[in-house]
Amino acid sequence: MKTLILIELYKLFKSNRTYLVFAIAILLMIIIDLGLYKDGDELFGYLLQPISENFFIEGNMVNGYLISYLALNTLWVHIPILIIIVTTHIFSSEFELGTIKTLLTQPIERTELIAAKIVAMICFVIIFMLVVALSALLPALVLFGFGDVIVFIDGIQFIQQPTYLGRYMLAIFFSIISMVAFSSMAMFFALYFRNTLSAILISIGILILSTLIQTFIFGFFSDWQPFLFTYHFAKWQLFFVDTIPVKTIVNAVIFLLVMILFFVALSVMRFKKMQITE
Amino acid sequence: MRTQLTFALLFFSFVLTGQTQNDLVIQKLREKYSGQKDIKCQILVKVEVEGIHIPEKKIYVEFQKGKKPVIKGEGLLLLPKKGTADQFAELLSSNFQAIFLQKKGAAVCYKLVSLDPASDWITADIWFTEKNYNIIETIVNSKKHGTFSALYTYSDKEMPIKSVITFDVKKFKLPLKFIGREQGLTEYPENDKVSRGKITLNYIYL
Repeated sequence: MKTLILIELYKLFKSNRTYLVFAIAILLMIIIDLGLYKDGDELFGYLLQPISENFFIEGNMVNGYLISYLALNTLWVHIPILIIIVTTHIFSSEFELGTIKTLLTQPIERTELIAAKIVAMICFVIIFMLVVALSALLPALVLFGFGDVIVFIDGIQFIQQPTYLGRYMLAIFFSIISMVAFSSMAMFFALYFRNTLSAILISIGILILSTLIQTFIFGFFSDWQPFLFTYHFAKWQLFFVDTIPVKTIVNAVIFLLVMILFFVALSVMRFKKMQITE
Repeated sequence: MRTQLTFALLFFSFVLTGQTQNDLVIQKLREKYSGQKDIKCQILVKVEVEGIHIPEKKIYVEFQKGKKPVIKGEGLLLLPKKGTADQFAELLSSNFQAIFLQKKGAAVCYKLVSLDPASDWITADIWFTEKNYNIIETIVNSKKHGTFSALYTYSDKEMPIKSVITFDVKKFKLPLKFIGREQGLTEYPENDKVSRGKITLNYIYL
């Protein structure tokens, strides 16, 4: 099993697309840094206008922690898309290259084969999220320095500098679970359609649709929200609320774990029943 | 005719005497606060405004006449623009008409009506002690900041050790719709409603 996992990881990190995705993620963070370096003060000055009417505000408002928090907003669409570009390939590349037949004729349990791929997928998501977290945080801290973070959730939250890193790490850990859940769904589509592009397009379609329904909360859709996976993805934001609503976050984690189990079970079933001639 | 003239003279003399007394009291109040020097202090700021979640913070402040206060401390710092200890001098330095309203115990209340069209405040009710002219309460109606009231507590010193400021505040939900997607953790009033904010300042003078 260990050898199988290592082989999958070797294949994963031998692919150019893996490094391309890392490069795009880092580029995204650099663009966010540069944009806010230029217009950050003006933007936050505007947003804090209702407060500045009544208060003098002093301190490093646009700081590295704030930038890293804003960079996490790429978790809505950009990061999930980048992740599935790689993770779907882990499964469907075997079909596209025709190596699946050779693979299935080996004296290895199919469950072990797919388990190794799932572990490789999870490893990639973890590594990718850590790279995103560090590339969002470290250059921003060098450029903008430290400070308290103003968060626009449920009013205006002033997150104190000493508590920020803990919250940030928890949000990243939560997002790893979200991204594994999304990758599991993409994995199922990759196995079902045996094609990377189809799997990516369907997953992106579902992501966009779910985000749209969630963003435009019309009366008709408002009751559907708890059934949307993006509704639960978004709970990373709650780590940046003054008093973290633990129960809401636990519910979201349970939803995401169930989603992972559901798609992993479907994928394993699909993979085990697959004919070698398919 | 003679009787009417006598009544008229008596009436005007009462009014003039009252006005003179008013002027004397207000003059003493003005003298007390016009001599106020720049203030250096530490302030523990507690903000209780709907929609703003900020922990208590200790800040260092230098109030200088006619200048924006110098604020120092760790992280982001908020200090209310109105109701701080330095603003008695600012209020009393402008041109106004004072009207005696009432007396309660050792405190008297005057209504000040601004005669300066350029000043931000329009009217101000001020309560102060007759003995040492310490201002204990102000209710100020201003053009820019609506109505804000402040209660001041004194120890044995001339400057307040605590002020509790309440003011009108428009709720802060409006800009959030543009960038914050996670809403609805707390119920807020409608967008255009004005709610009351409360700020408590505890001073330590340096």
